[in-house]
Amino acid sequence: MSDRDPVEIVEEVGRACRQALLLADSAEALGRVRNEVLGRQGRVAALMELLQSAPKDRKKDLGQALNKLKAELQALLDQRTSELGTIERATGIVEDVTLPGKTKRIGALHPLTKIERQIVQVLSTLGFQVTEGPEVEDEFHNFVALNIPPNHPARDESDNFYLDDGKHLLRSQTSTVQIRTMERKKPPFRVMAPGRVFRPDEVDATHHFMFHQVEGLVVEQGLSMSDLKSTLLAFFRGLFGPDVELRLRPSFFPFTEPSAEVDVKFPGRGWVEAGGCGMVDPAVFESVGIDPEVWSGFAFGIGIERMAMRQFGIPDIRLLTENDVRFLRQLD
Amino acid sequence: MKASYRWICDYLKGNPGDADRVAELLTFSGTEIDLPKSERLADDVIYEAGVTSNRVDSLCHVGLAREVAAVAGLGLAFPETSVRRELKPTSSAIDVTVEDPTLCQRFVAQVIEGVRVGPSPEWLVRRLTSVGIRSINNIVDITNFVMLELNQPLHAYDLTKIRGATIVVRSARPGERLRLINGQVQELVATDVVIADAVGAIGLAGVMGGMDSEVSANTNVILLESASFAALSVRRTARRLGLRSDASHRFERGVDRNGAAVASDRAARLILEVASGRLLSGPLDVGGEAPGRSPISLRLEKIRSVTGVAFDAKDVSRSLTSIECRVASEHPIGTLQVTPPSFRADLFREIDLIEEVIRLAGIHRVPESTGMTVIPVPEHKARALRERLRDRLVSHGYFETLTPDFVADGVPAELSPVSRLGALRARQPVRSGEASLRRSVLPSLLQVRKHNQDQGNDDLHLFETTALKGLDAAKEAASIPVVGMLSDSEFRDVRGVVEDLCAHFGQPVTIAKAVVDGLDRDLSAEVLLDGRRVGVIGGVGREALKAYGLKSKPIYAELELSPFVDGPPRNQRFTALPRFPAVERDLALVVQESTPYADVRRVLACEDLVTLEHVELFDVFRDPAKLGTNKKSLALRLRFRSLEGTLTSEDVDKEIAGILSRFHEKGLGSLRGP
Repeated sequence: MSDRDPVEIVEEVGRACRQALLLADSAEALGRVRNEVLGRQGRVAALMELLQSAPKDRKKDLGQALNKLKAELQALLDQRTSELGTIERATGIVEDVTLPGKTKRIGALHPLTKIERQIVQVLSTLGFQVTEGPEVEDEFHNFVALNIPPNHPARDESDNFYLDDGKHLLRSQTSTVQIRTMERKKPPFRVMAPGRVFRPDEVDATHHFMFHQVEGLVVEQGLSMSDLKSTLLAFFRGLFGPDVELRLRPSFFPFTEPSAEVDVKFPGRGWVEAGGCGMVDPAVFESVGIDPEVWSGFAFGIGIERMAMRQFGIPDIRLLTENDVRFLRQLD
Repeated sequence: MKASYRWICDYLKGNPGDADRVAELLTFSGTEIDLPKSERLADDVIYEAGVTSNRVDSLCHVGLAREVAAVAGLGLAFPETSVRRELKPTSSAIDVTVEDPTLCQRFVAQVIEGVRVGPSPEWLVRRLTSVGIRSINNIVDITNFVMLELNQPLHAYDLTKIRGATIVVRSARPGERLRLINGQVQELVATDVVIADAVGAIGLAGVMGGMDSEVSANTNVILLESASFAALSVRRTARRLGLRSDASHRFERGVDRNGAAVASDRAARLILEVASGRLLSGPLDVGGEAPGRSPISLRLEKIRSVTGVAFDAKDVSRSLTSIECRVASEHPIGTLQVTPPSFRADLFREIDLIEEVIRLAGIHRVPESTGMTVIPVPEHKARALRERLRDRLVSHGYFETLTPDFVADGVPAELSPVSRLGALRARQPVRSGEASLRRSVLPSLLQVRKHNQDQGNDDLHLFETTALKGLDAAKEAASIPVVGMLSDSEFRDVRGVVEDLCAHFGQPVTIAKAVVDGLDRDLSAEVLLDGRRVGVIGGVGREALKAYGLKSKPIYAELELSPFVDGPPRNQRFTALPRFPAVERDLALVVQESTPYADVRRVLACEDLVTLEHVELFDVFRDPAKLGTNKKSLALRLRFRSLEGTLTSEDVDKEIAGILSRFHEKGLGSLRGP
């Protein structure tokens, strides 16, 4: 050995190593060859000893040749690895990417909350401020101020949840918040009141004793039905898109005059009832000390359950209060 | 209300269009016709008409025809009322007294002799049955027919059964009895108004007639009553006795006094036609017509400013005249003087007339947009907090529920862990036994849990935000906004959520063991803010679990939301990230089983342990063999860091030694041996 040119020896070993790498026919075989060639006690490592005992004038060339060989063999190994795979992949368990994913548990909002948020969001963009009122009301706010006189059928025992303290009842409409607002705020203003209302009723697929509304009230100078119509149109378009149409039908509410029912229509579908509206009745203004000759106003009410049931295709109103988590999860 | 298309057309001059067209005309002028619920017959359509409560006048076919005529621009063919009379005066056969005109504003009486009571002709039977009224005999049928025609309820009596040939309209005498045409015998009270003869009550005014004086097959002479009774007393009597008739329904809403005589003549004319007979002359009319109405000033400019549509005087005049208003010419300029007809009691202000103008002209004429100014909107603090809280709970894996405020009476002791308000109950339960307004969300969530249990859903985490209602100290209505959570996880998990919510919303609460009504006394705590209870956490008590039939043992938490809203805003400002590395040491501390972790934690919370950055309890270990009975080992990971420089091992050793000696001083426990 000592008389042969060390560079020659490097080249010879290099050729053999290259061959071995090329001949490996499986990941396992390649793994074995890798250890034999590039392992700590492999052939390339053995060649490094050669470097130590080489004559001084050959050290530089030998060093260069060794580095070149190491690089070449590593490159060839990488290439063959990508062709054959690592030992780990061949013998180990590879992760199955088709298994279903895992997540941390996430909950869900109730569908009525989602609808209410949508409504509030759109009305906010139209300048309406959220205001809230009590669910336990007195007769003045629930009837008198809303132009529902004593002995009016709407005040019947059987149509309201009067409470045992003899003074209060559960509100039967969110229009009470119109009165509460006007008692506190000076016009002009634009408010919306989402909330819960109660009316005795048999509970079945379409009826319940508890439901939710969003009430809107605008009081400014010089408002007309045109402003009411435009606001409603802007609201429904904000909610359902620019292609939705709106129409009004004359109707009656004690606290608005003129009053109307609001219908909306989606392209390709029929008209559906969406709520009620009207110009604030002068009697209502008078009961809160606002001069109807100076101020004008309009109000509207949207039923949240109805909208939710239509939007989500919920066939039975009772599902909303049974709270089966499968129902809640479905509509997430 | 049922209304026949063909019948309506009988009162129209000219052709209004087919049934669908007429339905459209009515719907878009204020009377909603529900076509899907309407009945389509071979040659007629029976509408399901939604007459609004302010339009009593539309509860009849002439009334609806009037609406169609006005909107379609047709003439109204008012029914024929002229009738042949005998010379013999009505006053010779009957006399009528009304004791109190406030109870009966008008009473018109006519007498027809020589009638032949029998079956009704086909046209009459058809008309009545088409709108759901049963045919009885020709006389009674005519009275029903005219009521459905002109909105005036009528009643026919067998005159020979009226003792003393005298009618008195008066309040009932307490204890007076009356057998009604439905067979019931009723005992009357002083608030009932009766039609009486010389002996006693023979009918309940406006509600139902008496059996003894009703028209039968042998009746030969009839007394026809066409009257106007006070709405309030009719309603009171009808409610009291649980009776409801087509007549009372109309009187309760207010029947037009001025129509009584016309309706009486109409009925008389038809009776003579179908049952023959002789009508006596000179109808008795006690009370007469109502005094004339004063005109209402209607400003043209106000119509425009309310509706957004400009109308000229001619259009307005024509429109209001078509609904039988009298319109006097402009005076002052731009103002019309309008006198509504007596049957429109709902029109008494300018704004009411404005509504008529726009609905008759077509509400679709209201133009879109004028451009309102846009005002930026301040946030509603309580609502914003609630929304963020809901989102935070959703991210913790909780599902939001929505439940009614009513709970069953006697719900485990009317639970009220957080609310201090006085209880409220509805006078009328929403379902039997359920009239109390809840004072905690727990009963409602337990109900939801039970429903889900029945469906086979488990491992649930539920929450709901609501306002608990009640009376404050001054007996005023008040409410406390809260969030309730019910979870099938462990106490520590729920406590973790509560701690996160409080931290996230900047409330420095402490949580301490406490006994809470309705919760498991061995696993309950209260949440305190400045020493005041603002919430509770605990296992649901055994009594409640049993009451709701629950198989699992969920944990409940309830938190008041006002402290979050009213408290100081969260301080979200950056603090520098630590520059120097931390050193962690684990300790296993053996303490008595009964020692709460809080006691150990308190020692470590001392302010002078400046470099102790974080303490984590990562295990609790029990093993009587290794530790002894009634002992547990708390595995603590302590993390030390200095803000000034890297701590050395010796620094940390010193801290640990100090901590251990503190534990020893307080007799808390010792390091776990090898």
